[in-house]
Amino acid sequence: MNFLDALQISGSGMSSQSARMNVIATNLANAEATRTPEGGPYKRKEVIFGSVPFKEVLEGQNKSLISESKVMGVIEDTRAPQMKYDPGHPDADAQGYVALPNVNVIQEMVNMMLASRSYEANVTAVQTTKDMAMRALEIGK
Amino acid sequence: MGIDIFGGVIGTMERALNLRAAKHGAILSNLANMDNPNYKGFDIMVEEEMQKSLNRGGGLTLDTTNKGHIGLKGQAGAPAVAIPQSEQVFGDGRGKAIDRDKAMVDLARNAVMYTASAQIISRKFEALKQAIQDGRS
Repeated sequence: MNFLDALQISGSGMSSQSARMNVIATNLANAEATRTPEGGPYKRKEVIFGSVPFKEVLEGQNKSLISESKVMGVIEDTRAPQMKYDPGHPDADAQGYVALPNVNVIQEMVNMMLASRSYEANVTAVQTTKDMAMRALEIGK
Repeated sequence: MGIDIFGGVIGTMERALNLRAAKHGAILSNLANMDNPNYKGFDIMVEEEMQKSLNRGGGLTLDTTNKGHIGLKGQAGAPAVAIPQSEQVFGDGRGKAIDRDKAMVDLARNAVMYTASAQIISRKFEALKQAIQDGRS
């Protein structure tokens, strides 16, 4: 296990989490958007994480267990939009209901905290990797 | 017959450093893929592996007087095994085997043990240097 590879793995985790953060920010920013280019209210997005085998953990073991994290794609939440009674709204239907995005702000906030914790974990891992590499270099002192 | 001055402690500690670095990689992989529900975590048992290699090299042997007996020779060259972490499924089945708190504790513990091994090698070299220089430091 090379320390440069170690940094790359933690980096992949960090970039996945920031991609997740971008999607959460998009959901929060558009939580009230009733008009989109494709028509209708904004639909909540979610990232799908995948693991890409990186390299074998110990030499001679022909299995790539160590994996990088990767964002495989962004999907749309298929849940129905929230209906709110607001007859004065320009996008209200004949019954006076407005279709608002299927974004639950509390759920997004919780997701944001999880993303932030995961990001922090990877940052700590980078710090630890750096410390370990420095220790190894100090053997020669 | 020469005296193996670099073999003993330094060799053992070198193996410990290699195993610790491998374990570090495993922990990093687990942390980076923590939010992927399909990822299966794994671990490397450094202490067990060290014990095994000590048994191999440390003059401890088992006689095999019956073909059903298992000698210690059989372990020679056996590579360290990466053990999958136990699977735990939470709630909607999207939870996964990696416990982030445990992973963070493992990360810190592994780094401390790595530092300890590195320091032991460092001290050993210092001692060798002193011996080379006739005890003058």
